[in-house]
Amino acid sequence: MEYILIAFVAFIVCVLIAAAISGIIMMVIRGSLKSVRAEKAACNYSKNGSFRLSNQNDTFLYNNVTRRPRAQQQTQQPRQTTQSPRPAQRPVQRQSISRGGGGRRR
Amino acid sequence: MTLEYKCPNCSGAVAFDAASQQLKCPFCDSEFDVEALKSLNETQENEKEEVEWASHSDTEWLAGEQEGMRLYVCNSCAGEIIAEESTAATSCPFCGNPVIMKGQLSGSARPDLIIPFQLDKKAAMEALKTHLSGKRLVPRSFKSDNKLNEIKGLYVPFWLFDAEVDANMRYKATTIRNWSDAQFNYTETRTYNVVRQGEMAFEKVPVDASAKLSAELMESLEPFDASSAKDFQTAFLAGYLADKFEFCAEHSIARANERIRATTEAEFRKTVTGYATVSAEYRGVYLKKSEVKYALFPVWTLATTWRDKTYLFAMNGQTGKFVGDLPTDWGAFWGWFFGLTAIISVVLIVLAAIVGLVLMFV
Repeated sequence: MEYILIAFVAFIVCVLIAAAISGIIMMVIRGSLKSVRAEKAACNYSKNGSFRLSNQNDTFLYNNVTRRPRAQQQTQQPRQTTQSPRPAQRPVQRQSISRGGGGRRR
Repeated sequence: MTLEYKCPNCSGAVAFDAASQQLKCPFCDSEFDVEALKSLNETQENEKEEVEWASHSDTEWLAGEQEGMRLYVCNSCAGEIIAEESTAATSCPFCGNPVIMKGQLSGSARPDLIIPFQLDKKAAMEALKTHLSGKRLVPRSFKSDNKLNEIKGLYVPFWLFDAEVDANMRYKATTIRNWSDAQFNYTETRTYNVVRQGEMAFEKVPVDASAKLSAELMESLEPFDASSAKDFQTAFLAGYLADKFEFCAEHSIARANERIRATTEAEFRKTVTGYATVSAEYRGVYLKKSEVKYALFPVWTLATTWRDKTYLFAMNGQTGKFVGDLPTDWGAFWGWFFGLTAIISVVLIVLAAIVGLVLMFV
């Protein structure tokens, strides 16, 4: 009896997974029927080589350490958090670089 | 006042030929250079006799009847052409000759640039067939029964915006490091303030200036290669329809700014790398030195009717990109859905049975 129940549940789960996969496939196929969409960006019209960074600065603000007991001792140990006492300012990079722009795609 | 380019050989009305990129007479097949025919036309215009015909019409236009419309006279057959206020080029409904409304293209309404048609009507019809082929969810009757109501080669007015952009971006970014010892799992989250400042430039960002065709449809046809645009000449309009702008540049600039801003933000965001999470805290995008040009871009529009509903398709007359939404055959949709579900279910059940048997014997 137990085996029949497991087999039945497995059958239902398989059909549900199959329906979800089919649904995704069909929505993708249906999506291909729609080709009229507004353009959100203007990347086709950015001037080649015009993109230039004049300031690039990454500053460390603070850190936060969380510790959790490992699986075998999970029963009693609470979660603990420590935080750095005050923000340490550390410029990571400071330089000027230039990159090629998005370019004109056709 | 209307303008017509006439064949110096047979006096037929000539039209611009996309294949040869010259003006071609459809009657005697003679081909003419755009510049040469334009200068000949100007010379002939100066030689014209001044003849004015008195109009003896018994009927008068009712009040408001002419609103939004204009009346022109065909140079070939003297037929009266009633066109919308924004029409800049059309064809005479009586003799079929291409007609250009000169007044619509002069002064501030004169376009700076034009991309001449590179693809002809035949290419547009072929593209429609290709667009419909291989799409299993399109109703069969749509493919077989739908009637092509009209196919038009239309020069659509666009504003082209050039802009230089200064950007000042600030992000909050984090890195995450995990490690363990005998008792605990540790997660360290380091938070950074990330600043990016710089500039970039945009050239000829197009915004549809016509009210007749939806901006969404026109944006779907992009990109247009404006670098191959030519200085505007009315001769390019011969044989096609053309509209004058209905939205002014001031009205259209908001849309250009929106797109420029989106691209600028995306480009600067790409430079923030090596972090687990990045969220924008401040996005300053400032436009400077913006310039605007008025241009006409080539578009083929195809309208079909199916079950009393009109479907509008469009093709980029320069690149051949074809767009247009298609209807869904819901019967086919659910048929495919249940068919796929059955096949995938069988595969999964077989796999589950094999796994179950293996587990039983292990």
